[in-house]
Amino acid sequence: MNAIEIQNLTKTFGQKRAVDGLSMTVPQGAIYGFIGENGSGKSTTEKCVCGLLRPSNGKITLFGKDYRDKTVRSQIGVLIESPGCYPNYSVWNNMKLQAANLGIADENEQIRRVLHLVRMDGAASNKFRNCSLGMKQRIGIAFALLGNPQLLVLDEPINGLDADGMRIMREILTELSRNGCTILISSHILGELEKIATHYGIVRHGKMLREMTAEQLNAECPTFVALKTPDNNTALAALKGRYPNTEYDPERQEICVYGGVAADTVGYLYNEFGLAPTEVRTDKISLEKYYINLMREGN
Amino acid sequence: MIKLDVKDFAQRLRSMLRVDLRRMFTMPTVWIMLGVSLALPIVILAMTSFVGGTSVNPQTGAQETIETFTNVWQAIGSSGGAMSMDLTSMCNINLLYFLAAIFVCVFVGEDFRSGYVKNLFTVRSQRADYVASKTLTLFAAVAAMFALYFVGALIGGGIAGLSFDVAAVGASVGGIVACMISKIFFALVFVSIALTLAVVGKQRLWLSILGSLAGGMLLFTMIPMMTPLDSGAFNVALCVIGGTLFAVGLGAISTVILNKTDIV
Repeated sequence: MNAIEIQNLTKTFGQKRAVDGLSMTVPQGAIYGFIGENGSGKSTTEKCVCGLLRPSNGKITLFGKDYRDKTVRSQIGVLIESPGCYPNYSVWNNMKLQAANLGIADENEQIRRVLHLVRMDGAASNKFRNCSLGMKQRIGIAFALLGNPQLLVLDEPINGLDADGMRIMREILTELSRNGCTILISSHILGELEKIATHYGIVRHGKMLREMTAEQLNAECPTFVALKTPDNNTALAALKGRYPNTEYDPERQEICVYGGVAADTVGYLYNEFGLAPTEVRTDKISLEKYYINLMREGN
Repeated sequence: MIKLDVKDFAQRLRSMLRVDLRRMFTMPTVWIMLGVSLALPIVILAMTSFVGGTSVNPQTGAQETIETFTNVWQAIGSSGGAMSMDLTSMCNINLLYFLAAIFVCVFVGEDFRSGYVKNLFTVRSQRADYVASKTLTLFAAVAAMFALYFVGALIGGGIAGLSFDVAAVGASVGGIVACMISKIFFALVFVSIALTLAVVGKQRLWLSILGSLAGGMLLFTMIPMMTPLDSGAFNVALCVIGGTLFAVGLGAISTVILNKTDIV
């Protein structure tokens, strides 16, 4: 059984179609990276899944049941945009309210457990408004985890987090996934997403452009040879003559030869131009690069 | 494994009431509203007792007598259900209905503005629980406001040295008790209207407040008729039934609105 199944979902706001016949499947236990440009319909889709927006058309099932089913709803944890906390309440009191909403019998113990899980043990007495952005995001995750949900829906949970915060978030999500929790996560930080996601869905203009597993993405991502030479300009010009799909990556200051073989390119450069690369590696294009290419193709 | 113990409507409502009451009595706005309800009659009675006498009408130039409070019970209402435009009718306990409507809008609006409803409606699909719990909680708070106004009126009357003679205002002790009960249950009408408008307005607090005040203006003239100082069992029954019908009817409408519209 799939955790989420969406068929032909459409959501309109007046004349605007935010989601346009989108279909997607999130298998149980997956970490599903939901990717798309701003305004592509990711958040709208997630809000529909959470029952916060009413779909204009289409069908959403969660664990095989209608998304409005009350037994299913209590199995969902959500962090959409920001955690819905009262700013003047302490973290603890905010969590007490949500625990009561969920009807958790041993609420103090559970609140302590989830705060510990997100490494926020010491922040329980802080007023929510005084928490930093990173703390608020982690509190949001703690909120979402309070009912021990089987499905987590997270909208941009790593936005605004520092490197350490991202690492902690990554560890938390991986641990949850190991314990059987299904996670639907949207993010623009594709480098982070790539480290944890097992499935991907790429949306554009409210439609599902591509849905694949991490293995499929890996197979679809072409390999390239990255070279660093003492004279990158000459090497780039030389390689472009033989390998048309050659690009210079200014960020890493290296030449990327797509579809090339390391030994061939090095031999060619050395034999024909007397240029000896100082660094050579073979790599696959990143999710970010794959995504950018896919978007370019779409245009 | 976490134990989730919410099952039927009564249990769900109990847990929701627990949340709302906990929130209500830890919210500064509630204490401010209760404080205002207590202080308002003290200030009004103390101040107006110094105002008495005559004033010149700027339009006609004629001298007019200013009707001020001479009896404590005038702060609660007037006998016979007559509505006049003098100071005692305009500055009595009926002002609380407007204060209550604003309070309801702020309390419910805060749920939408803070994003609390996102947490709530994701895990609980029954919107009726939310409406029922809010109605009961807000009604309890508004009832407390009326009770405090009553206490404030007694204190204010004492400070201003006003008469406590019940017969002088054409009422009886029983009538005043019935009047207060009627007023409290009539507040359920205002609570229901404001709650429905707050649900319609969601994050747009200004819309729900303006709507509630406009609705309140339409109902304002009905209050003295429904809840005179010499109220009886008929008035109480009318207000209890009317208030309950409004709460149930508008509660159902609010639930439908929440079910049929987007929450965020």
